[in-house]
Amino acid sequence: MPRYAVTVPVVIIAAVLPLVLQLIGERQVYWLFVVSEFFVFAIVAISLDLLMGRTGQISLGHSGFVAVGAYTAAILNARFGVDLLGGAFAGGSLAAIASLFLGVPATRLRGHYLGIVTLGFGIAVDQIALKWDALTGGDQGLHLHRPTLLGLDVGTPVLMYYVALIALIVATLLVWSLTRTRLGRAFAAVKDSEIAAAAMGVPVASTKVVAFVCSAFLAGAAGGIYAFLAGFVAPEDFGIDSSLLFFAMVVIGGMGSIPGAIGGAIIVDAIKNAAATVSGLSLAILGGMIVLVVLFFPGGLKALLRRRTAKRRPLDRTRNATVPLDA
Amino acid sequence: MTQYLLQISLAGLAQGSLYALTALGLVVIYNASTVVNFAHGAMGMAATYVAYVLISQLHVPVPLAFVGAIAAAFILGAVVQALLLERLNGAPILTQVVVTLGLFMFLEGVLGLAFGYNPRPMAPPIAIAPVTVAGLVLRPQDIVQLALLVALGVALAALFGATKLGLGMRAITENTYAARLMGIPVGRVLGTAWGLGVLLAAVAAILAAPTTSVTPNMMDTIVVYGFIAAILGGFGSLVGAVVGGLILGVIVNMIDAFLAPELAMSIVFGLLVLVLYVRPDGLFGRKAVQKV
Repeated sequence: MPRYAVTVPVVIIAAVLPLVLQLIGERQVYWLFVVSEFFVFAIVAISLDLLMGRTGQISLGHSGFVAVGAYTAAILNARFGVDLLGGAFAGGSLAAIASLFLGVPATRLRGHYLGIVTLGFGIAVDQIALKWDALTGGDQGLHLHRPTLLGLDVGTPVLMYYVALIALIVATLLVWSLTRTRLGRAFAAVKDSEIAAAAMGVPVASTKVVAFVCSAFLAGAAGGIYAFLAGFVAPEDFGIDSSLLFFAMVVIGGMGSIPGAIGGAIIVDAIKNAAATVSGLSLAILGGMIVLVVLFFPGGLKALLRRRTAKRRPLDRTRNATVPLDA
Repeated sequence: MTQYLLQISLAGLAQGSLYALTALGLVVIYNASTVVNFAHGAMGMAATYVAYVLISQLHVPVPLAFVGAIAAAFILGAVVQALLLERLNGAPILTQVVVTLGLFMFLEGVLGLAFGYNPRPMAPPIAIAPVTVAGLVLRPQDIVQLALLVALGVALAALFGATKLGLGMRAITENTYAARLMGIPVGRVLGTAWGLGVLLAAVAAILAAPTTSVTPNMMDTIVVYGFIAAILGGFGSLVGAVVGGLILGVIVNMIDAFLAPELAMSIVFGLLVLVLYVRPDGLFGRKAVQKV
């Protein structure tokens, strides 16, 4: 089954969903927001997967990048009336600059130190956003103006839905093409074995930094879009909890795969929304799922789906055999 | 002013002893199994809930409840090692980090479900008035914390240096396969190391409980400082973990007193990044050589 046989129907369904919601008519605005928010989270999951799944670098503070992007967009919009595109781009750029603070020491860190340092970055962004209230509004948060895009008003839930959907498609295409470049293969080489990569002439340190910068740019841009979507940013949206959610999306979806990251985002976001009223429930379910996935389905959702397709097409197994499932 | 500085440093040392105990547990686990246990704080927290239930719901005498909680922590560590980590033998570091993170989320979530997130009080085990020595106020729990740190630190050093179990742990770190060939019961030794590590986390958590109260996230801050202490100490050195924890306690207390308490962790992380930039293997660590 060629790739577009899945992708095209999925995109069509996503494109006509607002129409369907319109016909059903019940709590349309709420569901539009939930799905739009999911699109933005899926961009963050893809960005984290670029780092964790493709390059083998852990980040436990990815919501720190999202927060940098969201606050950049919110501040630029509230003070200077910058539009959605400018906000997302500036948010991504500032997050990319912030990632240098992590990425450069990361090149000198042994694997597990990175988890702790990125965790600290996430906490630090949160603390600074709370403390520096002259800029960020502190715990009161910041309100944005009605979103515009290139002079057009996109302030309705339906239009914001399409903005988020298009952003997700663009992010998917960007990462998908990136993995097919020389740089993308360098990422994979670093992930498989740093020593082997270095022996093959891959500059390991700078490749890791570039992976951090690319991942942070996407996460920051997603944060910028999130700020316009929600119309409001506050520190509690970007705590460790949300870093762990992004982490869960990538692990449950199966590392090193864009459909996996999107699928993981669907599962995690659904569990988060469904279990929101009982404190601790979503954390317990997601934690349990992560442990089970690592122990029994090391490839996550991606490998489960792929195993089924492989059974139907025995000839294609050679292509799948080269994909390491234990990542 | 010097009096004030001394007082802050003293309180910092007492607070740092909790970071040091947490870091010691992390290092014991890391030394045996080369896994950084991200569920460390959550496991200590779970043991504190055992003590809480024993004391406030089953009315077990306090010392007995602590023994029960610490025994539970040991068993929890050994079981996690046998059920989770044993299956991931030889898996990439990332995979092992992921599974301990999943366990962290699971434990916090489950205890949150069972007991809710409202902090539950836990009385300090010893209720004697603070003592004043040469103008410096010493709280009884400060003395207990520092004394326990010294006692457990010495016991661990003896364990690693002078017993067959400790020798086995060091052999496994060196080369698991060769250790197995030499007749070392690898599974049992690793289980013991995990049990001991989590036991240390439980001691830190129970000592912290009168101040933090018993909540599912009571250990979150302490364990992050424990990680930092272990990194400063070179992640592998027992002395390093203790010194790292104590220094960190003083630094955090200084930040709280003179700079901004809300930014304490951010400042500490900034310092950590600086230290790692200059000395990637921590202050006391030996340079790690990568092998294929």
